[in-house]
Amino acid sequence: MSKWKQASQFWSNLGITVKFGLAFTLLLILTIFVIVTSLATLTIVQRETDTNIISTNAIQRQILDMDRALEKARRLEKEFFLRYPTIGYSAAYEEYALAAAEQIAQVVTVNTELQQYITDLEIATVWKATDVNMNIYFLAVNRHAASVDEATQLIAQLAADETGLLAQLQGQSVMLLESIQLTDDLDLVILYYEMQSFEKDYLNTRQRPLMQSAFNIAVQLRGAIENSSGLNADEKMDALNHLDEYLALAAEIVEVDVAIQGKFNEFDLQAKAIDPITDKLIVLADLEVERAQERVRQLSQFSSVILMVAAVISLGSTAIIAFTLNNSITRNVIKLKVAMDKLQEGDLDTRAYLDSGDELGQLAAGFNDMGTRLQTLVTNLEEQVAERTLKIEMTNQELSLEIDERKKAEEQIHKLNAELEKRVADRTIQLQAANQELEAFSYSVSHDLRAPLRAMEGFSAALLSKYKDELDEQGQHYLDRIQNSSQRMGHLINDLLNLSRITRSELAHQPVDISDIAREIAAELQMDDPQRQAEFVVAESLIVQGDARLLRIALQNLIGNAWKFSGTRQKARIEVGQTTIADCGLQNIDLPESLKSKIPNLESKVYFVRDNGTGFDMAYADKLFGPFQRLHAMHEFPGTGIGLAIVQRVITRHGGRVWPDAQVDQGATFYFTFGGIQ
Amino acid sequence: MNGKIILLVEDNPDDEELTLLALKESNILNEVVVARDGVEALDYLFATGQYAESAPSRTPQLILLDLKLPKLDGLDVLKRLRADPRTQLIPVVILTSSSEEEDMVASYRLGANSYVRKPVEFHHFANAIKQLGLYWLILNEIPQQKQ
Repeated sequence: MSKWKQASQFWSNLGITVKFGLAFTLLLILTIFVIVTSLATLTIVQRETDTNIISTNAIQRQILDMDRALEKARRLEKEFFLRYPTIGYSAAYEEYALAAAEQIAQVVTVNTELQQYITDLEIATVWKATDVNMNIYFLAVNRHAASVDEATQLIAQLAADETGLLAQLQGQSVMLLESIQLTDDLDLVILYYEMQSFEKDYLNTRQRPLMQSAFNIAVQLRGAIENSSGLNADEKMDALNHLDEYLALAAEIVEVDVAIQGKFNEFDLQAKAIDPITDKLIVLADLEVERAQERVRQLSQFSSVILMVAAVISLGSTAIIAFTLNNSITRNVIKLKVAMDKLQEGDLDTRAYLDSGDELGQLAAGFNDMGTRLQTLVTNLEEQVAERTLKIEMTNQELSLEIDERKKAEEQIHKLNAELEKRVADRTIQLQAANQELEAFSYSVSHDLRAPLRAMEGFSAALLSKYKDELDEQGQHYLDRIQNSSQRMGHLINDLLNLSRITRSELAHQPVDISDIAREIAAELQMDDPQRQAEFVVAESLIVQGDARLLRIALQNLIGNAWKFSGTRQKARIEVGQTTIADCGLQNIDLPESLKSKIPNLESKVYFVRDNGTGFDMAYADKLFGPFQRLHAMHEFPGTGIGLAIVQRVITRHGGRVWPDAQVDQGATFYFTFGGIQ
Repeated sequence: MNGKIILLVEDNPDDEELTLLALKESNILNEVVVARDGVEALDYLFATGQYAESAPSRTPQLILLDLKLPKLDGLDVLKRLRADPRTQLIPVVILTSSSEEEDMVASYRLGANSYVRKPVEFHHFANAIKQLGLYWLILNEIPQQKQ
């Protein structure tokens, strides 16, 4: 009892993996055992079945073969005896006797084989007993063969084609007829034919009385020959000799016939001896087949029993293993799960008690430990929570106060924002109104300021043309001055309008080839003044993004200025090209701070228009771009001073910058970028 | 010259006189009827208002129309002319100080036949008037008015 307890203790202390390992190994061994058993049983059954079926079948077949061959031999023999008289001995011998002999030989062969079989295969003791029968059968067959042989010889003696008794009889018969035909004695001939007739009848029917009748007539014929007057002594002797020969042959034929008949009787006897043996053999073979079937049945029953036993053993073992595993693992897992569920529901006092030393036992121990710690922690936590809750409530109160303040501040901000937005909207409306006013102003400037100018110019012109003679030189001069001023004012108004139009117009964005535009402007300038010697150098394919119309206006002004201010040069040179901020030497340009600070400090593309004209003092550089600002006297270079203002507006509207680099008498360069747009 | 009337619609007396002077200098001696505002121009053309009682007015061969006019401006006058079958075929040349693109577009859209900006220089102005007279009164032909 204590040993059982020790074993169970040992088992419960094993690890789960070991337990499962053992269980599965055991199951594996059982499975292999069942498989091997089944295979072995099946193999035995199969082999036994094969052996039995094959041997019994073979025996049965051989016996039947033997019987069939014997049957055939007999039939052929009968045929031979029946047919040799009609088709001739040789033909009948060839066709039937030989065939019969062949069948007999086969019977003997099969019989020998069968005996061999029975001896070789230790199939059944019954067959050992049949050995005697087999021997009798064998002897009987051999006897039969010998009888047939003898019968055949007898028939040969009787019926051989030329040497047979029948042939000889025929010969003697002919010779007898010849010898008695030497006389005209008809009685002799009639007697002869009578004898012949009986003889033939005998041969046809084999009825011995007929032959006796033939002999009786032969006695009469002998007497008739002896008494014949037509024959001499020699002839009589000759005829009598022939008759004797004839009779002797006939007697012999009868004897041979008797012998043959004897053989036939012998056959029947032999058949009677063999047939029961054959029947017995067939019955035995059938029995043997049944016996083999019985054996196979027994074997398969036996194997079924073995398989059942193996299955029962393995099922039982599986059940035991499952039970053991359940006992030591599943039940413990369920216990643990129940404990876990309880813990989850909040029962912190729950513990799992497992009587096991495996991992599950350790798990339970760990679980119990955790439970204890959880209890402690929960207790601590509850205390802490209570403490914190107090604090939070206090903080919340503070916070809500703060939030109220914040809300007030936000409301104020909202209010301010709304006011601000309203003001911005108001301003926008005001600005839009101002813009509209400005446009209206530009319109009236263009329209209304021109009218009085036209009047001044027109009437002074009329005065000059119509009343020229009545005015002295001074008077004419004053009128000229009025006219010039009017015209100049007209130009100023036009330029001012252009400037305002550039500010107002919509900006298109498309690729613009400023090289093309520069070349067109150059061509126009040259056409207006073909006398001038000037060289234009325009870089290829300067493509920028912008408004083609405005860019053309800017370039017209820049190139126009270059053209104008290089007018005094013997050989003017005007260049349009592209460079970079770094390469345009910005640091060396003596630019006023108001311009310099606006130039982008970027690696962007910089375009320029350069001339070798009169240039200017860089001290005035920042004034250049103001409208109506001029650096030269009117009589030196005419113009309204609006051109660069237009250039600057165009470039600025394209997000770029424009700045000059010049020296008095050293020419001027105007750089420009398209910063925002490029 | 050939009895063709020019209707000049102009509110500025200076411009009116200069125009007449220019016509005279160009030897264009046709009768010039001057209307000093839009309403007057329409009254003349449709024989209404102050022209209602006078003898039936004759249809002008050419109308020189300023844009900026009192009461009814030039574009409105043009619109009314083009809307009426009696006047819709009369050549109208806009003669104005404005070089605003929108004015030009509006004028052509309403069916003006020409748009000429009055140059400040008189000889340019006189030359423009001469060209206009030669072209519209002599060279150009218009269909006979259907009454």
